[in-house]
Parts: sequence; C-alpha cells; structure tokens
Amino acid sequence: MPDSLAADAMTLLRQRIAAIEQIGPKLEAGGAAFVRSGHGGLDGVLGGFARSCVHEIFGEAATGFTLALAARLTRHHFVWIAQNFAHLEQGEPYAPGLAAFGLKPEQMLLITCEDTLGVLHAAEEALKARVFDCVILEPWGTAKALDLTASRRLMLAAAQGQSTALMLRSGAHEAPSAAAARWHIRAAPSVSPFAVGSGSAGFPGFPRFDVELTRARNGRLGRWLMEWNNHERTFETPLSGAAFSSPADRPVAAAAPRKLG
Amino acid sequence: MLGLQPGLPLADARARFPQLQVIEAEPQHDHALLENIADWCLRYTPLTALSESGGIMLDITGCAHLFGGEVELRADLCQRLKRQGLAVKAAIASTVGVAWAAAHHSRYSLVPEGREAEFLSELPLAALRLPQNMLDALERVGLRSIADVQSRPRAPLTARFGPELLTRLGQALGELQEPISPRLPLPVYSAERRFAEPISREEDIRAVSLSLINKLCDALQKQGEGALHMRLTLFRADGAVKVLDAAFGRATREQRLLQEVLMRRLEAIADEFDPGFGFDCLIVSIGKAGRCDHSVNSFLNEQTAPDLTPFIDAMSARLGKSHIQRLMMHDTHVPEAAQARVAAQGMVQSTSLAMAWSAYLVEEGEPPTRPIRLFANPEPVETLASVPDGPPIRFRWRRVLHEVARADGPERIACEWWRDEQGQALTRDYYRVEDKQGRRFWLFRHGLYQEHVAPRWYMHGLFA
Repeated sequence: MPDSLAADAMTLLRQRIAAIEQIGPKLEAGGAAFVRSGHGGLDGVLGGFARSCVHEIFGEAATGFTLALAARLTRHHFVWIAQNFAHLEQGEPYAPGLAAFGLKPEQMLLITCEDTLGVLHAAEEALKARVFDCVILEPWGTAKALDLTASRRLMLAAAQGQSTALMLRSGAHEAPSAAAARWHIRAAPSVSPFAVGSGSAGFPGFPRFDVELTRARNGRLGRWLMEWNNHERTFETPLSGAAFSSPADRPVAAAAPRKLG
Repeated sequence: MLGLQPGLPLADARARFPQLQVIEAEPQHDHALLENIADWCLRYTPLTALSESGGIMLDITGCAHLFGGEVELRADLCQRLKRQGLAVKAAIASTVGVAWAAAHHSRYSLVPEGREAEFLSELPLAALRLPQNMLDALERVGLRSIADVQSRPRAPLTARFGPELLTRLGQALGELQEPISPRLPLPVYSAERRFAEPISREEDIRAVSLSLINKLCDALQKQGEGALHMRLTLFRADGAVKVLDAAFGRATREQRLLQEVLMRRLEAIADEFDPGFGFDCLIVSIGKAGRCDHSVNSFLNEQTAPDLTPFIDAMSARLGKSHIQRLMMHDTHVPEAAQARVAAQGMVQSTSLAMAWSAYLVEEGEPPTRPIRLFANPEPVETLASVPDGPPIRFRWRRVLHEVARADGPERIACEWWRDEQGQALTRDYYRVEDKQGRRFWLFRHGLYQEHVAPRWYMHGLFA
C-alpha cells in the first residue's frame, strides 16, 4: 500500500523534525502525544489533540470547546488562569455548570491576574510545574504582550513541563503566533434530545461546535461538526445535521468559503 | 532649657521668644517614624515594643553578648541612630521602669543590677511613669522624689492615691512583673547575617537569604518541624526596614520550596524594591512552625495525583493569596450563591468536595442545565416574548439581536425567604435558550407577571 508507506515516511520525517526542534509533541506511534477527541473525523485526520504544546482557541464558542478539551486532557488537576477583565466580559467560571459540562470543579484551580503579562507569566510557571494536565490561559483582547516570543515561550514551557496550554482567546482577533494549533470555534445549532417539539421550538440539545482548525504545525487542517457529550466526556459525531465536512487531505483555503447563518 | 515645655500655650511661648519658629506637630508621622525605628531595632533583638509614652523598648536579654556587651550594644545603637540624624537617649537596666527612668530623667546610661532602689531614690516621682494629675496630687502633699515615697508606709499611700503609684514602683524595682508586648510576633526560628559593607545587588541578597534558609532548615530538621510562615527582614543602611512575608499551605522544611517562595516574594516587589545604599543586615525568621513528618512515598500507587501545594504556595507568594482560588459549593438554589471562591492556600482537599459537585451532574442523555460561565452582574436584555409566561422569541444583548430557535424553561427560582428581609425579592424564571446560530444562553425574567407590572429580562450566563 503506497499510501501507508507514504504516511510512514511522513511520520518518520515529523519525528525527526520534532527531535530537532525539541518542541511539540513527540510523535511516538500511538503514544501519549495525543489525546483522542472521540470524534471519528478529527481523530482520523489528526490522531486527536496534541499534548504538550499550545492550542489557541478563538471564536464565540471558544470557552465551551476549551473546557471540553480540558475535560479530555485532565486526569488530576487543571488550572484556569484569567485576566480579571475576561471574567467581567465573559462571565466567571461557574462550578455547577462546569460539573454539568463534564468537568470536575474540585480539580480546578483558578488564578486571576491584572494584566496579560501576569497571565503569561503564571501560565509559564504552571506549565513548568509539572502538576497540571492542562493549563487554560485567558488573556483578554489583543494585547501587545501576546507576540510571537510569548507564544514561543509557552510552547517551550509546555514541552518542558509536558503539560498542554489552552489559550482561550474569545475576545481577540487571530494574529501570528507560534502555537501548535489554532482553532476557530463557532456554535452550531443543536438537536433536541427529545423529539417532542415538532414545530420550531424544542429543547436545546447537547452542545455542538463548528470546529475549524485554521493553523497546524503539520499543515493538516480541517473543519468538523462536533457534539460534546457531557455525560461521557467525549466528542461525538452528530448523528444528524452534519452540515459540512471538509476533505482532510486538502488545504482548507482551497475549500469554498464557508459562512454560517 | 529656654523655659519652654510641652503644654505651654503658643501665645505665651511667642511672648517669651518672638523669633520662635513654629512647626505644627504631626503625631501620626511621629508615631510612624517610631514604628520604623522599632522595626529597625529588630537587628538587636526580636523583642521590640513601643512604649506608651513615645519610646521604644528592647528586651536584650541574651542578645547583648552578640555585640560585645551591653555597653557596646547601646553605643552601636546610639551611633547608628545619630548617623541617621536622630537624637537618641538610651539606657539599659534590668527592669523596664528603671531603664525608662534612666533614659528620661537621668544622665546614666546603665544601671547595674541590684542598685535599682538606690538609683531611683535620687529621682523625682515623674520618673515612675505616673499620670500628671497624680503627680500634682502628690506634690500638693509634699511628695516630690521617689525617696519620699519609698520611706513611707504603703497602705495609706494606696488608699490615698490608688494602686498605680505602688504598682509602678514595684515594677521599677522588679518586685512586680511587667511584660513587654512585642510589636511583631516573636519568631520561632531566626537566622541572620550582618555585613561590614552594605550589599545591594539582588543576586547577593538572594545568595545570603538562601544560605540563611539552609541554616533554618537544619534547625527545623532537628525539631521535626516545618515552616508555616516565613519572614525576610531587610535592614537598609540608611535605617529603612523592608519586611517580606510568605505563608505555606502545609508545614514544610524543604529548602527548595522555602527558597522558591521567598524568591517569588522578592520578584513580586521587584518594581518597588529600592536597595538605596544597600542592606547591612538580613534576617530570615520563621514566625509559625508546625509538625512536619515526611511520609513515605508509596511505590505501589504511582497514579496518585501530583501535589499542588508547592505551586499554590509559590504563586500565592507572588500574586497574593486571594488570586489563587478554588470553587467551593454552597448549598443553595440561588444560582450566584451556589459557589464561593476561596483562597486555595492552606485548603485541605477532600473527597467531600468532589461529592458535593456531583449533585450537579446531569442524567445520561441530558445536556447541561447550568451555564459554564456566569455573569457576576446579570446584564439587562431587551426581549420580545410571544406569551407573557413563555420564553422570548428574540432578544437583544450587547447590541446583537438573537433569534431564539430552541428554549427550555421556565425553571422557577425563588429567593430564599430567610435571606429576603424586606420581602421584596422577586422570583426568577430561568430559560435555557439557543439562538439560530446555536449559541446558548441562560436568561431569566426577574419577577412573575403577578408580582411585577413589566418584569425585566437579564442575561445571567453562557453555555459555551
């Protein structure tokens, strides 16, 4: 099978590059470098979410996706480091909701900082401390401090401390960074779990995300519709309403421009 | 010396000396300065206190030999304070009363032990720290010096002037105990280093505090104790004193951790850190210690959760304790009161905490019913509802119009009557709504239509 041979060669090359760079997940075959999302499409293309690196998460539904990712990644502890203003603007973490969402609030540590620099510093410390499975950092807006150097430092800290940084940037515009992956998350209409409302109304169902990977180190991008199962703590492929799927082997820019709503 | 004394009216003083320069008294600043000097005196003894009459008391028991003796200690103290431009009167004696009397009312700087009575007999009664009205009363009956009182029977004196006179005398003579209440809590362990030449480079300060910490750790090790509270006191050559405190969530004597926490504190004040002409003395002390028995790590159970305490301590030292928090559950139906943010330092992780949150777990097959983010202040929204008691059809929040596609509710949450003193709290009807784009919100109508003419709608949380 020439395909699998090519894939093997690619894996080898990536391993070599990763070894040179000493950054990013070590691509051991089936190792702990990835955590599976549970969503067949995404896992098939990416192998899951990369660990020990920085994910940048943008978009209106970024918080939900970030927390879902945290739930996937966390075994013992995670920390949420936020700039004070982000709490004012986006709301404070709400433990009853987190519990219902599939997280364990008792595993969470909450750190608040006055400014972006404080958030970055605390995140770096947290990543290096080797005690957190994942570190959510939430600076607010597009700050000067969030430059390439800052994200590179975070990448290094994540690799060094073998912890995953989730950079929650709901109020920001995308800008160049050294993050291993950049996600753009939009909400997607859910499907009511009970088929009662025959008309327009119905109950809101499981959270659905329109997940777009807009940047990745290995260039494999994609867009998926994912449903979060808060009970099983896993992403799922929605049974219905799969509005779009993009071929994984093609760069996303080549696909037709998509716009929701 | 010019016939001027405290309490003299300003007009009288001016009449006597027309060229008199008048500067308004600033008792608060004087007091603050005195406190600073008291802190500075920590270099001589950990037990320093302010006396009520505007002086500083040092208990130098067991400290004098470090400076070559009592006389040398006093000389060193006076010289250093004079160099800072302060006028000093200092005396050493075996009781607070005698030392005070010697400093205020005599030329002696040292009253040898055993000669207190003899020394006091030459002084006026004012040297006994008595209130002015008592001194006036004593003078009216012809009692002026301490010798006058000493020679008299005690019972009539007490009957006439109250117990204070003889209490003060007894304290001065060492017959009665007079405890000094120290300004700062006494440390349990303390290590210090002095420098002939002041040091100012941060690396030097770091290195010295690290070696002091190592010393303390050895001492802690011997006692089987760990530090709960640590303090670094820096004495600047010009007299300023800088105190840095750090707390620990659990008693520890791990050098690396103690060092790291102290370094964090130094980093945190880096901006205002002003070495000036350098520091000439550093003290690291442990204010509170607790038992610290190292547990044996289990080799069988490798999957135990990593210990967060060192991280929490280090971050608390840097950012302040209140910035590192955990969420605690409160058993209430009022949504915003259901959680409390508690400082994580020193908190004991318990399984009961985990149990508590499990109350919010949802049934299988049900989406979350509580938002993941909650607004501390619910934000007003403009709504259009089809039926008065139903969910809105569309609403405007933060200037964006949302068309509701799906909604669930109402979930009626009434204010707890025992919290509602005026009986005016309104019932809230909560709705989970999803707009056409799939964005999910937690809205509530404040007040039922029966309760309120035009109930307002608020945005309270976000689901994703």
